[in-house]
Amino acid sequence: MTEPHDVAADHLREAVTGIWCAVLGADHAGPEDDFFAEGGDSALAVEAALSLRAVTGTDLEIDILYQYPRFGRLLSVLTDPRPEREERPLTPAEELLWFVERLRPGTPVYHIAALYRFPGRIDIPRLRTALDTLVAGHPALRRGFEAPGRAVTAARATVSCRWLDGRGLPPETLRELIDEHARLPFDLARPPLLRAVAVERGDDGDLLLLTVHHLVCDGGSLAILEDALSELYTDGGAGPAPATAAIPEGARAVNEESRAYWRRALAGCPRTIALPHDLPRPAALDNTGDVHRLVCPEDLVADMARFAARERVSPFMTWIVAYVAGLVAQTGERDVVIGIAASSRTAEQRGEIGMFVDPVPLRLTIPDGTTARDLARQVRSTTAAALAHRGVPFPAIVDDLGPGGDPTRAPLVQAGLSYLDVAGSALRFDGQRAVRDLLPTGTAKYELLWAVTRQADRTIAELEYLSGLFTAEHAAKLHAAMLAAAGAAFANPDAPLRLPERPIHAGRRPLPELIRLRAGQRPDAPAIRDHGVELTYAQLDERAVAIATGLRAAGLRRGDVVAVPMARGADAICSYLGIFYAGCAYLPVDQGQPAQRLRAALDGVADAALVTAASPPMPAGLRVLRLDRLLDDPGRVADPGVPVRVTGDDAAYLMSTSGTTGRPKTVVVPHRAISRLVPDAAGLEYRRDDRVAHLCNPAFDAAILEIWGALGAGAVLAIGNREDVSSPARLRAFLDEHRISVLGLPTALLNTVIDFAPDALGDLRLLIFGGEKADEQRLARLLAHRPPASVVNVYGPTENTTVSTLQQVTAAGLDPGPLPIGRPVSGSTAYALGPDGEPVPPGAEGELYVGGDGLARGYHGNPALTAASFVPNPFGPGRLYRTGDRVRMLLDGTFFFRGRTDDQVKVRGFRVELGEIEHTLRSLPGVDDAVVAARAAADSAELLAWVTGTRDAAGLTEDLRTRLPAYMIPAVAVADRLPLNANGKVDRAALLASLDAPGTAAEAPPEDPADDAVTEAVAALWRESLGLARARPDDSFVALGGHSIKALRLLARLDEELGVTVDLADFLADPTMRALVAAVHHLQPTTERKQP
Amino acid sequence: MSEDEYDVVVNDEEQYSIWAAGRAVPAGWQTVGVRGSREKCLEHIETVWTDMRPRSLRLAMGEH
Repeated sequence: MTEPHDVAADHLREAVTGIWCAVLGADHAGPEDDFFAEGGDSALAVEAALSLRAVTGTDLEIDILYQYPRFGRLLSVLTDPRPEREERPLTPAEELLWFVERLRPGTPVYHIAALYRFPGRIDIPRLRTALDTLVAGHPALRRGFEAPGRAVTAARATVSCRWLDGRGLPPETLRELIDEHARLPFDLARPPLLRAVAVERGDDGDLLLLTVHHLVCDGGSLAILEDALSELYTDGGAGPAPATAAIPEGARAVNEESRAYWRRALAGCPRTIALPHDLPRPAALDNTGDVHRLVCPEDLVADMARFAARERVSPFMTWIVAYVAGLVAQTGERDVVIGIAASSRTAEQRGEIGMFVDPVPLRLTIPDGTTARDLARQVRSTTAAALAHRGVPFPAIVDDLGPGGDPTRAPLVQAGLSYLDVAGSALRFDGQRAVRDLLPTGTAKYELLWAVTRQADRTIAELEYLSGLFTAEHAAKLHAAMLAAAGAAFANPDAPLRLPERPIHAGRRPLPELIRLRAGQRPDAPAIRDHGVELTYAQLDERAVAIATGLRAAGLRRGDVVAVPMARGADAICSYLGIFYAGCAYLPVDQGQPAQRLRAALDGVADAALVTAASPPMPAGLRVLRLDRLLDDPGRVADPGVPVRVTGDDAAYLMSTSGTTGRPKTVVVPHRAISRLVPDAAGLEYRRDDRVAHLCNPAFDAAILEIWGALGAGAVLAIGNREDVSSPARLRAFLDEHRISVLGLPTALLNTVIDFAPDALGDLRLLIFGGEKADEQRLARLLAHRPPASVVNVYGPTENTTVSTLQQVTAAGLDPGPLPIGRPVSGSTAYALGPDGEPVPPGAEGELYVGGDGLARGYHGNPALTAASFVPNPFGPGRLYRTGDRVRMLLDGTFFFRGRTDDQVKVRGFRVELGEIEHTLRSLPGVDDAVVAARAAADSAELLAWVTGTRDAAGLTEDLRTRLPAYMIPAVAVADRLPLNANGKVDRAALLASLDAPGTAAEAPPEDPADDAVTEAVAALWRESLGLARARPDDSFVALGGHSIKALRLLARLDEELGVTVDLADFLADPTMRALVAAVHHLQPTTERKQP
Repeated sequence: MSEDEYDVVVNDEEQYSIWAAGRAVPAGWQTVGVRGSREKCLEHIETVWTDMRPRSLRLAMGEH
């Protein structure tokens, strides 16, 4: 083979010869001449290197003469006719890694560090030559990466190969040195991204550490590298002919059909996986990580081999089954997305070193009863389809899903799996076979990565995890448990996959303990902002200690119940925490309810009440303690028993809900049920740097999320008052003022905000809504226009602690059909069962039963009702709560709400038993019978009552107001008789139908003609918001069925149409149309009247 | 037909419930020997289930 003649190369040869001779004072240079033998020393070597840099115009290594002391080799290296550099854009896979490197430069997260233990010695000069020859033959090993994202392959590169004397070094010191070398950052712009350290250890046998960057190598390439290096070292050969150019692997055309496949395959998939970590998720995670390593048991490997043969799946697919079985057993997740590293190596690339793996997301669904065999079939088809559509870069797949997910976690894939078979390859120097270990880099690429390596004699499973989430002990337990679950799956491939025995929540502390911890961690961080009052965590803790001390001094003990009749505010929060610290449970009391119902809620339930001056009067006989006295007690003696230690089984709070018998039902909720939800249930994670809005009435369980989500995370709880939610504009001002990042809203209120101030929500990190059926069209509008980073629809009864299921809402996942209520929240289970108690087939309607750690203890003082509602769980340990909700479950485990099995309704997010209202009506004097029905209205359900007897409607309504909260007051009509259906029961449907019949409305006085444009405009909006045909000046908005949310809509529409902001509180003080018109005139003196 | 017959059952936490007679009782639960209508079973539970705290909590609180 003749070298092409090149004039420039001749000049370069002359120049190099000239430098050699000048530096050494020689008159001639022969190919075998050695720089140091000819009189060169370290100073001369540097001088020569600098001169060579000048003539070659390249950034040569300053120790180039040490690398190539012989003139002939030096000359050939320097005058290599290959082009200096070849550039190309990054491949999608390189781009991902490059992005991480740019984000966190200098971390070894993508280092592949292989430590080889040889029985004997390594010959360092031979190793150096072999490494350089290797690099010459593999373009990837001469490749560097430059901003803003170019891969540059240099014509030549030399491998840094250090020698270390490890003789006599203590093993720990040696290990530290090796780790340090393995983790030393590469300068990505300067190839090779491969380096070596040889450690001489005398009789112990030498070590070789090869560190290579994942940008130019992968697991498969490492095996190729080992084989090639073995051959070069042992035979000393020239190695393969140098490949001249990198095979252009970049810039594949993205196939639209493939893109569509991914959109379809991942539609509505969960964006995050609820991994069972034991540390609370910090606000910001770095990639510090560790590895837990296990040798897979022989019988598992044998079972898997048999299984793979029988099911005709590859070993890799079998490990996917194992991983998913392990994850399901630990998380209870039924719809998981994992990342696999799929090889993109083409036939021509066989034997080439490089980065030939793409991360590919795999979505697998695990309905009840799925067996290993079922899963294997799914894995086979899903993997095949995924690989067939592999060309789409991962970021494009994520983009196509639309906004959503958790911006603080890796998009879509947080759990990865890699599998590598290296049984056939090894590093062998002169027949000495080295034992290889891959060293942990002290980092983790995913939250959890399972790296399985099949070696010649064993299979190694390494669980790489983020240290910010998992402790080493927990990771070890988790790894063993996952492997055991996989073992069980393959030992009995026709048995349903194992589910969590008890949903894992290791390390979940009861709230009082967690908040104590927060106060210790960041005592001066703000905990509560309540209209000018700011409490730090230390102050909150201090007040709670004072309250607990006072409660205990008053004789209250662990397990006692303390009522808190206080409105939303700092006092209430301090009281709740103080009650926790005393080992007691709190009972928040809705101040808006009539005295009689309040008494019923407390009677026999509360052991004491903790009150402020603003609290309503407490029933006689109840022990009453004043909050201010507990806080400012000069005689207080420190109580070493405070805070009282509680377990997850201790009651945390009690909450009254509507009951059919006329008495409220009081749900008792243990600490475990809250801890499974806050602060870090998947999809509802609260972060330390969040500002969480507290707008919910504390007597309703949505407040649990707000209060304890914020405080459990160490975040700021910003408390809003009534005015802050009195109009969308006010709400926007509140959100802006407090820079709120997490907001929960009842669905009906969210609808109003979307209609009138959709931009108010754009800065939220997390928007949570629920309580009633969602309005898909409004959500689509919200998502189309600067949506919050994450939008979540939650569903759940108080008996399963606020959230049973949740659904991430994304534009991409928003189908034209109804919005699902989603899948069970972490730590919870849900089943759609038929009347026989057996699961109904996917798609069919059944009653929703929920279980898991969120379950309440039961109903206070009501064993029979508890026993009837909380039933044995035939699918796992513990009980299931019968929700009374009718649902449909899809194959992927997503639930849709279909209605109720009974007469419970939701009115503006409040849960109402029609039976309670009927019971109350029948108990009124002069009432013979009563029936209450709910009718769907524009925003929510509307309650209507028909009563027979001697009373008139106005009087009945008055009486009801003293017995029921405002949201439970129906519009009352007096009837002659109540129609019965064929079963002899009152026919609600017939009554509802009669409303729409003509002639039911009494003869109404004619509407007053509007006397001006404002009155006309107000009247039009009034009619619109109430859905009525007429509007008269003395009509009361409230009496006509207008409630606060309808009022909000009306006032928002007024703002929109007339540009005036009427205060909700002012309006409700006199909710007549006349007053409203006056208010508008007052606020807007320059109305159209000026220009008649 | 025993469709409307129930058994009173109790679990390891000494929580009571009812279970359709004839259906296999889920693991962790035992019948207590009371069978009858739903109302009869619930009445029985109303009289025997006097401390509704789960057993592990009672033990954690140093009681039995």
